[in-house]
Amino acid sequence: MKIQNITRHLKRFNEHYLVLSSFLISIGSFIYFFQNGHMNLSNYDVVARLNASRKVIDSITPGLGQLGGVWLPFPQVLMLPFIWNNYLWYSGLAGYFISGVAFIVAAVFLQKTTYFITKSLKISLLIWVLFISNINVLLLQSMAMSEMFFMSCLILVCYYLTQWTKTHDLFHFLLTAFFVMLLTLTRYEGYFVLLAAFIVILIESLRSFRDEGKDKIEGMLLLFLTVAGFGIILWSIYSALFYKDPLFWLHSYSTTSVSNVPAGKISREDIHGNLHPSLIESLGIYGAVVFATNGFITVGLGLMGMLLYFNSFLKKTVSREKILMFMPVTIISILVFVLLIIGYYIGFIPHIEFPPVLLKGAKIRDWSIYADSNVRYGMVLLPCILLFIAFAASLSKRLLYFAALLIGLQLCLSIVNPKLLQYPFVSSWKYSINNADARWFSTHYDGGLVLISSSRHEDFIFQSGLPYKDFIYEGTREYWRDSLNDPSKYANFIVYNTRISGDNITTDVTPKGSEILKKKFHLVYNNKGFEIYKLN
Amino acid sequence: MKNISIIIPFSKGSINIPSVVSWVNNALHNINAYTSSPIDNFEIIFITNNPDYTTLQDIEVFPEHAPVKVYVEKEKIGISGLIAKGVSRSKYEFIGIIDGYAGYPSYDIEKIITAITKDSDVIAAFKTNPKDFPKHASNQPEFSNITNRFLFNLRRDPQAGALFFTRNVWKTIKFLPSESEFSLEFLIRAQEAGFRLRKYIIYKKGIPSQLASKFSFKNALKAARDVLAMKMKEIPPIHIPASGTNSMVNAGFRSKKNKYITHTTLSPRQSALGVLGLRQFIIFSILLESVAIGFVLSPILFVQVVIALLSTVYLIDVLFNLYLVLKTVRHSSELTFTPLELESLHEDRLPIYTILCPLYKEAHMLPQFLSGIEKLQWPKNKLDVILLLEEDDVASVAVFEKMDLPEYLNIVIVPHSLPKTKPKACNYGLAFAKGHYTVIFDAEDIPDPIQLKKAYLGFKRSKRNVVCLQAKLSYYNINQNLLTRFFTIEYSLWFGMTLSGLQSLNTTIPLGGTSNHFRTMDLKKLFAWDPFNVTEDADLGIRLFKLGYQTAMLDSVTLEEGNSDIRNWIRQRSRWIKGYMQTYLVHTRDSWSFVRERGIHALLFHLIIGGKIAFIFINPILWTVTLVYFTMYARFGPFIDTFYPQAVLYIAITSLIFGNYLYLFCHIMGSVKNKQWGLIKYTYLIPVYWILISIAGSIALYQLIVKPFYWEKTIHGLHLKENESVTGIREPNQRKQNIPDELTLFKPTP
Repeated sequence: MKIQNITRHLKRFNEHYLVLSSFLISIGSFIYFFQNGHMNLSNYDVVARLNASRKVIDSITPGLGQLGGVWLPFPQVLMLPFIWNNYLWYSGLAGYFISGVAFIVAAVFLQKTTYFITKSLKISLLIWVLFISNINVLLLQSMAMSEMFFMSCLILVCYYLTQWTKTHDLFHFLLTAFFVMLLTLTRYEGYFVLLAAFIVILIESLRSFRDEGKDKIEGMLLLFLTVAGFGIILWSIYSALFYKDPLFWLHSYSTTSVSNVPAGKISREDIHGNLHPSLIESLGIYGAVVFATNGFITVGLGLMGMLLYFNSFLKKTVSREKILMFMPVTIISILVFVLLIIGYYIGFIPHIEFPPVLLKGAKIRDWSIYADSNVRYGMVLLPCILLFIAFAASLSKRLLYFAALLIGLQLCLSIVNPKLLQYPFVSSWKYSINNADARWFSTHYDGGLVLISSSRHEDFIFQSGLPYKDFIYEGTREYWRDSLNDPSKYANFIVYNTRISGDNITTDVTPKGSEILKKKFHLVYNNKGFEIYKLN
Repeated sequence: MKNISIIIPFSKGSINIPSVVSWVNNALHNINAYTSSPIDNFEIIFITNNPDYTTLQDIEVFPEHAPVKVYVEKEKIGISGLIAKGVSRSKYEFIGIIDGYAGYPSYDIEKIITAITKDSDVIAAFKTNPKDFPKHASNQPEFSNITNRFLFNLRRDPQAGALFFTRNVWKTIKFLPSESEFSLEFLIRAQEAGFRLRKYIIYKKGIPSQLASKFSFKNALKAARDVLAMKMKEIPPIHIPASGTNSMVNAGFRSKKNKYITHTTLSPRQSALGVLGLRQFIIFSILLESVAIGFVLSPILFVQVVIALLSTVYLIDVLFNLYLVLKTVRHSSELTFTPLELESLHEDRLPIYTILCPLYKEAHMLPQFLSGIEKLQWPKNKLDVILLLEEDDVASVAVFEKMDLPEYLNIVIVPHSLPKTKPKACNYGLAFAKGHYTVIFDAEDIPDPIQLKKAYLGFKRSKRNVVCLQAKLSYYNINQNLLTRFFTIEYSLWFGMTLSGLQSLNTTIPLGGTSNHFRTMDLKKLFAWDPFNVTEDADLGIRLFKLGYQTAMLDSVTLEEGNSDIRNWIRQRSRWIKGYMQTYLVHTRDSWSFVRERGIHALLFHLIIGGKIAFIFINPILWTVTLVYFTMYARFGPFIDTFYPQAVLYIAITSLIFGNYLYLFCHIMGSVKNKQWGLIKYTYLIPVYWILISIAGSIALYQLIVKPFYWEKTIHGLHLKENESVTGIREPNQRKQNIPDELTLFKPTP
């Protein structure tokens, strides 16, 4: 057997081994979280996303319009083949199938990207270990969240974009654009990635194709935009079709983080409440979140890698090829980070509470009971951080060993106490599947439709155990509109919650509707303002 | 010298025989009396299978020396059978069939014979007063009007009792007549075969009407059944054999009231001579009826189903095209050659290469064509360029006669005949081809100078079942205007990606208009081109695939003139679409055997040809509905909503959005593949071009119905009218328009 063949076999073996290991870790962690109090459902948004997908097939007005106009729909669309099954819905497995596969793809391609850039199996495996051992990554991959899928696509973008800058292969170029398109259908941060990738392509085109005329540069950029921008166009068409407003998401985006909220202008105050973070404060908040969620050692090493990259770039201490290979990751991470800070400052990004571990007397708005869940936004740049660590480790053996040592230390400390070097979501996400109100309702429900504001009660609906088609909510068009005016028209029950803000029934019910509610319904349940009415 | 055989069939009870005999006798007496008679010799054949003494005695009135023969057939055959027997026993060039019942003036026979020799091949005698003649069901005036006029478009009465024709007609349309109908079927077949038919009015009053047989419902029903059976019977075209044993020249057939000289022995069944086959006609009729019934029974549901079906077909077509494009992005299956391979060819070992170039009123394109041919890297003494001129293109012929043409260039004048199409000219030219290989170039083509060498190497490298190599086509006047840009974008996709993708699937490839290379022998074995198909190239590509052969794409570009005038473009495009429709119909005549023999490829054929046609008609519907929906929602929105229940809405929206987007993407990829980066920005306007295609498609559909093989001639050389260049090629924007540069642009990357 030729040496080349042996190498190829080994490489293939490595890939298979990585896929298998990533798969086992994914399954194992899901089972762990699921067995330990259904931690895979421990976030309100997880339930809301599972419900958003379920509503497409299980609603009195089923259809794609149920995906909602605020959250980008792709992860929910991917759940559709599984969500019809009650067990897969209630257990969160429908979401895990997507996030789990995304995790495996992310882990494998992160190793491949690192290997492609550094040509070092050791470094690539080190980065892989760092990724698969991150407790927050493992939790996110067990949940029906968009972050894992986003990270996976981001890694694929980095992988193919880096390959393209080296090979100029059209296929790599198209795959880059394709995964950017998926990003733009997964999370709004994807729009920033689109801009960053566009800039990378512009720079690389100007550098490499200048001699071939401006037509080629123009053509490359147009081709990229045609593919990568299709996600945004598709989302606009969807919004125009179902919400009669191509920019519905922009007009409706709010901290509610759920679908079916009515359109309206949202101000910075609406997003950040009484807190008015300046640009520097925004940087501080977001920076802290990035450090806390990804782990201090990880981010510290990544930051070091970035500084070393700039140093190498300015002082030309490493080969031009290496600098160029890291160019896409550098541009993407810096640009996306900066845009996230600006986005946070202007209110484009929902409010993030300081993680309690960092919190020393910081103000927490009382209305934002779930804002803590937004700390996960800090995770989206993890792939870029890891690639910077790879850069640092690739500069010298000493740096490699230094990084390995720190990573080892982080792993050991994590085993002792995960909270020491990181802010693990598992310890702070408060959402529990034991909703007392839902439990009461599931035992006292005796048929008929239930009028409810789903924007604040996805957990109630989820835990009531009733099919979604038993509920009249904001996305049920004429059922909802008519019920606000006459709740007795369709509903037997009304969930009326004054305990929290954002219950659209309490705010939108018409005076006539309110009158009918009082006359034709009677209170059957009250838990600190969480009221359930039943038709007389 | 004119000789006539008169055949008189009769049976027992043919009581008018004395009258007929007397008429014939008188007529022939007159003939002998006048030296100016048009007849030199004659014979009279009485034929029966049921003789009676009285009738035989009547026949004896003829003089003893008169050439009268009486045949008695033992077989029980009807009048039609007797006629056929009589004709087979006759010997003269002209034949007259005279019904034993009828009576005619003696002088008429002379006139008829004169007419038949002058300007007609068949004469049917026509009675002036039907009441004077015996009747049976099918010559009821009303009935014959219906059958003749509406069913057969025949304005002659076939039952008048006298029919004259030349023996050539009989030989040509040889057929077995049905029991009760001879004249009608004979006339229909003669008419179909393109013989000249005339009616002749006879003023002589006949026998008393009381002798007429009574009308009966049973008879009428039987006659109606016969006539309908005849209508349903497929009258096959009649072959005209080739003039030589080893050539297809002058071969053709008679059909559809015309004589066609196609210069190919391709079976009419494989040709687009008939638009719909009988089976297709029945299926199409059932479909139409189902549509009508569906629309009447439940119009909304029906429209919903139709929308869902159309949208699905559209989406499948789009996905298939996308698959082909993505397949080609990574691995192009075109035949490519290194410069070393091309240089290592020994010129003295190269065979003769024939180039066929059909021209019609395109003499002005010759300098450009000659310049392109001159640049071909092939030994000129092994080049056999045949310019095919049409006999009636007198101006071009005159121009060429005055020109001092190179030795390797031969002019062949294609004799005038129907159909007047480019493939017919090529078929004729093929008979003169001396080359081992043959390629078609249009007059406005500028082939890649090394294309012939590439094709030669391509054939050497390919398997034996690869009988055709298709070079890619593009344009030299890309930037002349928006239309030429669109055209180039479309061609880039088609030749750059789609055909290459099809090749990688080893499936059927509809050939492009020019630059198809063949081994001459193979081309002849394939019976060359179908002269009735206005995209004969596409048809040939499918035909050769069905026979188990393959086409391969050649990485070489022939530059053509992109149509820059919108009306001219629509003419050209409507012809192409019509040709695709013809091709689709020809190759779906026997769909089952196609599926049986070629499996999944038969279905791919539906996508490649059928899908392309479907796109043309479905796209404007989807666009119109969408535009109306969004721009006039208040007025039409709710109405449109009724036709789009959720499931249908999803299918339609998916088709519209993804369909159009993916088509747009495919077009961009075509330009990218051909490195025509500057065209990408124009691709976003390509829906405008699709509208034009749909307009051309509507014209094509109309033409397919009213003039299926009419060849819409495209005017070439419009680019020459704008500005001149040294090479004789005019480029409106000289930027990157210089011909050698374009050719270099498409050279394979090493």
